[in-house]
Amino acid sequence: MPGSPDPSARPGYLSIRHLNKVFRVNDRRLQALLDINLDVEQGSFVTIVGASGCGKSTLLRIVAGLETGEGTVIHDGKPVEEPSLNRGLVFQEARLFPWLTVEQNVALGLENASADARTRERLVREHLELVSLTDFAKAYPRQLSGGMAQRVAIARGIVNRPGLLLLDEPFGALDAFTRAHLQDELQHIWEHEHLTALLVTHDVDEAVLLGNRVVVMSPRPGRIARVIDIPLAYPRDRRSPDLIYFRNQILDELDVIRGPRPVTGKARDIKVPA
Amino acid sequence: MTDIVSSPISTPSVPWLERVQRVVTAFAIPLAFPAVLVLLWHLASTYELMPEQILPYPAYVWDAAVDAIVGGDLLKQISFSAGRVTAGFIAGAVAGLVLGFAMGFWHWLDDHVRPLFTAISQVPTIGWIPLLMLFLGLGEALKIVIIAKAAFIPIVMNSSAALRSIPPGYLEVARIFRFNKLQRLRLVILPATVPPVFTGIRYGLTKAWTALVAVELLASSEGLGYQLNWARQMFWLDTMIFSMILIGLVGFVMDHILARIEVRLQRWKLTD
Ligand SMILES: Nc1ncnc2c1ncn2[C@@H]1O[C@H](COP(=O)(O)OP(=O)(O)OP(=O)(O)O)[C@@H](O)[C@H]1O
Ligand SMILES: [Mg+2]
Repeated sequence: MPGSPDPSARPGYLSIRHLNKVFRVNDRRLQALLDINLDVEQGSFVTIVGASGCGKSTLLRIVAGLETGEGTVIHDGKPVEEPSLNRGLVFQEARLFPWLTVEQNVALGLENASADARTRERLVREHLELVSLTDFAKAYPRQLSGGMAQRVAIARGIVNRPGLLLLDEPFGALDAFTRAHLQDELQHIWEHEHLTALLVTHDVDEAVLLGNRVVVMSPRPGRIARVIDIPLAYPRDRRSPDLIYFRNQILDELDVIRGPRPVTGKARDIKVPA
Repeated sequence: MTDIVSSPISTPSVPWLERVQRVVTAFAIPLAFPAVLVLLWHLASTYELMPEQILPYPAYVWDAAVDAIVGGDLLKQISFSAGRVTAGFIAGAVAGLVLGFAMGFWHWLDDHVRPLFTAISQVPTIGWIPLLMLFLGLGEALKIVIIAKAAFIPIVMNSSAALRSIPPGYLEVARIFRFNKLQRLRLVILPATVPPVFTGIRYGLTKAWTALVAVELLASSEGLGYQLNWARQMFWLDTMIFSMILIGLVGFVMDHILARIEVRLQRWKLTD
């Protein structure tokens, strides 16, 4: 398998070996993940792209410890069996608690941290600043726009500085402007806070912009089709022509996954009326 | 030019005008329809659409009300009824919350209890009175048990459903942050279940009040339900109608108080 790590190599910061996941749906076996092998080095930003239903969320949920699969997942030297404060997960939907204010929602991330009350307060304040929501500290989630809610969710996810930050299509539901803004903000946070990030997306441009390694998955069963390294410096500009080369490589790979295109209906077949 | 500058949009709103508007919306709108009904009632009596013995003038009902209030008799009847409904409602609510939450937590308990519970809840409150009369006699215990049972049913139904209706996504957030049992209860389960549980409590109180009147009609020598029945037997139609209005009013006030508490508990839901 091109680009996949040699399964016998020394494990990285996050190391996934021969991971399989089978769901049972109406007495039928559904192979959601097939022999996934992946290493994520400390401080790297790995993005995962693939069509809907290829198992991206399932993979992320297993890494987070919300779900179990067959095979081994080792994070920071320890096998993943349940959620850990050293792994943060930002869901596709913000999942803020509507009965708590913005600052209380962010503070949820510190609920089990060892910090004292003063430190907690300071950390919450700093993280609200980081996502530019200081003015909304006392607001309730229903008073926020979708993009603002997602920023709160990101602040909540990183406030406790998890060693590994897992993001499941965190900008999927947002409009193009907000998405671009948050992508830049996330690049900034990742760079300055020395996080390790694993981000799932179905947006090829987003995968290329953010990842120093892009994992392309193919569906039914969910497998890693290809891993593409992107050795470009951060912060990256979405207009940079260098990104196009990698973007096209991924699009080519997705075309291969999709299979041959139908031959009819191409532009050259359309007859121009005389 | 000055006209344009001081256009109504830029004028700061007059406080007293705003207050008048608020009072109008708070009272005038809900009271408009009842006022029309009273007017129609008055006209119906004036033109003797029905004999006066059956449909007395609103003014007579008012006089009966004033007499009862001044004589102190009314307060006595209300306090009898209120005492019963309070005792019965609290007993039913506590039992209902305990059973409802237990059924929500433990599926096996739900499986065992639900069928019988559903069957019991299908028997109307009045249907229980004959059997319970044999067990408990005609005393206070009968009334309290009937009222408690009436409040119990909707509270069990709503609180058992409340736990099941917590969005699983919130519980996953709790797992991600490794909440312990107490944190889960305080930060997720209690706040998420307040709205449906409170709906059950409000509904339970309404049911308890209705049951009170029913049981007082059948087996009592004091209270608002008794007064209603007695007035019918004596053909004091004004007292009878007044008692009905009062029963409705007291129920309305109790529901309103609970609604206010509900809003306070769910300030995050308020729109502004
Ligand atoms: N709890 C579950 N029970 C049964 N099947 C499941 C469950 N969760 C996921 N699946 C199945 O596993 C497959 C992968 O689902 P998953 O949610 O991981 O896809 P995804 O790549 O995240 O898709 P999307 O981009 O649409 O979010 C799907 O076919 C889905 O039907
Ligand atoms: Mg998904």
